[in-house]
Amino acid sequence: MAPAGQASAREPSGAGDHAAGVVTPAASAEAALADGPAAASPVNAADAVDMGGAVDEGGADEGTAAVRLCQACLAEAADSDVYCEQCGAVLPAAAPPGASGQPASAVPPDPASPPDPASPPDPASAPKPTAASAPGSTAPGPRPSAPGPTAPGATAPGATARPETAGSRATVVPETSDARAEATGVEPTVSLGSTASQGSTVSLEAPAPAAGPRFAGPGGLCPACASASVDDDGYCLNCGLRLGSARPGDHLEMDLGRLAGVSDRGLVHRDNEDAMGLRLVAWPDPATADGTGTAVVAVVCDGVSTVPGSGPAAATAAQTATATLAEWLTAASPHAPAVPGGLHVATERAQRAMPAAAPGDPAPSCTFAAAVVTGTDVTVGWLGDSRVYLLGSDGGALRLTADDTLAAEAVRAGLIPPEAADTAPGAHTITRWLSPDRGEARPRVAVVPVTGPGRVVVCTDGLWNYASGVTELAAHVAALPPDASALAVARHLTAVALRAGGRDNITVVVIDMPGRG
Amino acid sequence: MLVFTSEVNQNKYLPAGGTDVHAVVTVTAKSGGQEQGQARSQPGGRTAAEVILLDCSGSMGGNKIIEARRAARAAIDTLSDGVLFAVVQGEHFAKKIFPERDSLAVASAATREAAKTAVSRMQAGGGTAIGEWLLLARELMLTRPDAIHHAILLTDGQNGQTEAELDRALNQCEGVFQCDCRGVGADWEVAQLRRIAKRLLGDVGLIRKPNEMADDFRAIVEAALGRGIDKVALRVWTPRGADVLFLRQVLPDVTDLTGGAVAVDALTRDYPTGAWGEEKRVYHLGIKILPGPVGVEKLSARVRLVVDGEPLAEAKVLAAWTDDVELSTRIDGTVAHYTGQAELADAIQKGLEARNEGDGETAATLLGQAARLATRARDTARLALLEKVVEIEDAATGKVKLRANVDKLDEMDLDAQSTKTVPAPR
Repeated sequence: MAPAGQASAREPSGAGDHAAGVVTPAASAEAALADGPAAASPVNAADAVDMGGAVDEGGADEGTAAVRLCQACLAEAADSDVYCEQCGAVLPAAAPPGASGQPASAVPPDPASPPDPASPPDPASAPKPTAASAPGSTAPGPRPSAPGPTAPGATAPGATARPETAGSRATVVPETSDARAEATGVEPTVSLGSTASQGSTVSLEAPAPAAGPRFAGPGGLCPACASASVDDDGYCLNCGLRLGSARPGDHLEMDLGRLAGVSDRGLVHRDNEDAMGLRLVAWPDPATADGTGTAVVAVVCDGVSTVPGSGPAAATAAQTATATLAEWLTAASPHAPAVPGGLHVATERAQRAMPAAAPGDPAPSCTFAAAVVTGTDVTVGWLGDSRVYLLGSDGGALRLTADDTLAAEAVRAGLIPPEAADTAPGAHTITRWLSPDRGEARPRVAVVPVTGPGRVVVCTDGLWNYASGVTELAAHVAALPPDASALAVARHLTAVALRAGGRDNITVVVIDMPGRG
Repeated sequence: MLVFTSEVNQNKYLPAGGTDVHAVVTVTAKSGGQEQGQARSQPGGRTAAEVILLDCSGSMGGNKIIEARRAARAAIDTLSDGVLFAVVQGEHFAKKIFPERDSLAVASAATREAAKTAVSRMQAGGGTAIGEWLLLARELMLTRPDAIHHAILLTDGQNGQTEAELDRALNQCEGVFQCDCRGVGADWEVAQLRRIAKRLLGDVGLIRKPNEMADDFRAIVEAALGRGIDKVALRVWTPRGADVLFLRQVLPDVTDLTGGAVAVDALTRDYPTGAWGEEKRVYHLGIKILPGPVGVEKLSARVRLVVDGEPLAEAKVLAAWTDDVELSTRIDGTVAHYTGQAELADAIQKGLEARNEGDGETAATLLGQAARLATRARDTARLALLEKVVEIEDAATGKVKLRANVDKLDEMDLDAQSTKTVPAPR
């Protein structure tokens, strides 16, 4: 993506004007995770299932230094996080989850309160974790240096990555799922190069796994696909990657069942400056026995590569927007018409959360594209050239967004033919974007009713550069079996872009629409 | 006891965005004791079963049937005590001529003599239905599923069955037993026997003179009995998003194994390679892999030799993306050699086909290419065979002239041996 163009007038800062519209942080988001063993069971109506892991206030206090690191980017992570807040990679399991008898909805833990003393003992002081402590995992879960009690939210990623009814998608990437569960037995040694100095203050000793995975290499989890199957030479036995040869953020995957995303550095860019946020939120669904279902939040942001700091800023924007939308939905449920307002609040908050530039430097910037799928509607909001497509199972396909680019505006003004929109000069010069030095960030919004089963694809231009026409994109998806999982579709579309040259970062989030399967 | 070792030759470096990975995997099986080593050995000692299929069609009359009897007797003499065996007389039907009652006899001094007597009474007459012969061999083999199964097939003419009939028989026999095929005289069709041999993991050869049969049969049976491990497969793992472009054996002969793949799981498939003795086989593997950014390295394939799912040897094929053109354009010498050998086999077969269709220009181009490749591989035996069909004017550039009068047997010999390869120079 090219730098933000000059076509858009700058506005005075409106930061703070919209604070009143923001819902309070949802304790329920954490509550869902706190109920570790129950996470594999149907989602409770009161729970927002937080897979974006955007809560860091709730981490252990500094005195106890219960540091849990993301293996991809070495960022610190809260015990309750499943995915890294910074880069979105799957985190190693924190500790053997316990306190399973504590109903999450009844006692939502206060993020700021000290950890529950009734929690299971610290695995470091009790070096014989039992395999039974991690439901769904095949190995006990040691964690990096873990003085202090375990937070109740700790749980194996493999067990929580399926918020849907257990077994409902049993065939979805069992490999990855198993691998994640296995991974709890892997010593979380950090293998990713340059930033490893951060690890010097952290002890990464873990108790020897009682029954560790057979091929666990010194590098632990594969940073690209989270597989724990690593051979003796350090090659991932799922995606083939030599663990030490990848850079942080090269390839990330998130799998929430009907919602999955893949973000890839591509073949040319030095860094992956794309970001994504994925979240499932409890939402009424009259079609189910107990009337409960899920709404889906998917956000992608594409950092402007020519402005330093845009990659991390895009990550912040995506996380903030995702969390805000989830909170908004939880508060609004079941009133779907409120969603467009939530999109506006989300972009405002995202923009204010983005780091400011030093005086005189250009501010970090990114695009924004979000899709919120409830039982009845698909609501999309966007700024810039990231896109949302709707692919019906009946073959009907539609682009739901209209690029905010110079070329697209030239088309709308009748200056160039529509077929030139994606290739003309200015096709990647965006006219609207998120940036902390911008004024009001009001996304353009579109709402379409859900009329049948299908998929929604939210992506950055790293994908659509190679499949810009909606029929072209639909044809790529049609190459897969009709029951392909959301993750399989996201991986496939990413592979399409990589095979075609991968000249930009590629991010693809796929949502399975109701009625599928 | 056989000990398997493997090694890989490849240039792992790919240019940015490159997707095609080529590697040559050399597998060596050696008799060994219990020495430690990464390769595992497998206890041998399984019973061998040998079925001799002899063409006794009308065309085999005269000297041919006399020599065929002699060859069969020589083969029978090669069977060591305890080996299970049978002799089948092939016409438009198949008839077991020894043993009379049992399905398979157990070799001993007495049974060998009795079998040789039965063979001496064979008479020529009737047609040629090779599929029927193979099906009877299969039936006999299946009475002893625990044995290592091998058959030897001798014919002098073309199969009288339809292709579909033969295919049906091959479908049933594939995986049950291996079969080496021999043609005698000039009336059989090389491509047809090659097809049978390929499906049944055997080789094909021309016996120029009937009196060469006995030595050839003895050698085939000795080799078959020397194979101590059966049902060996190449198990190829590739990462998610990668495809196997092809897998072909390139030594001792060129055989494309790609179509024989049996899926093990989403990322792994087995390619049957039959029974192994003390020997060396070489495979050329082509993989299309999802590209990674420059600086990233991937495991693009893991090749294991497996018996009953147990790995005996392992080789790793890599891919590493680089900006350094010097690195990514280098061609591995071993890969180049075996690529050339496969092209050579193809050029000879297609060249002879063009020659028989009267397309002299294409034939000269292809056979010239074969001469050039053979010269580059220093394959003097092949050049000698080629010389009998073409006049080589300049081997380096592949300039040849088709000879006007060519002995049919010379041409068939060149064809039958087209898939034989020479090892890469060290």
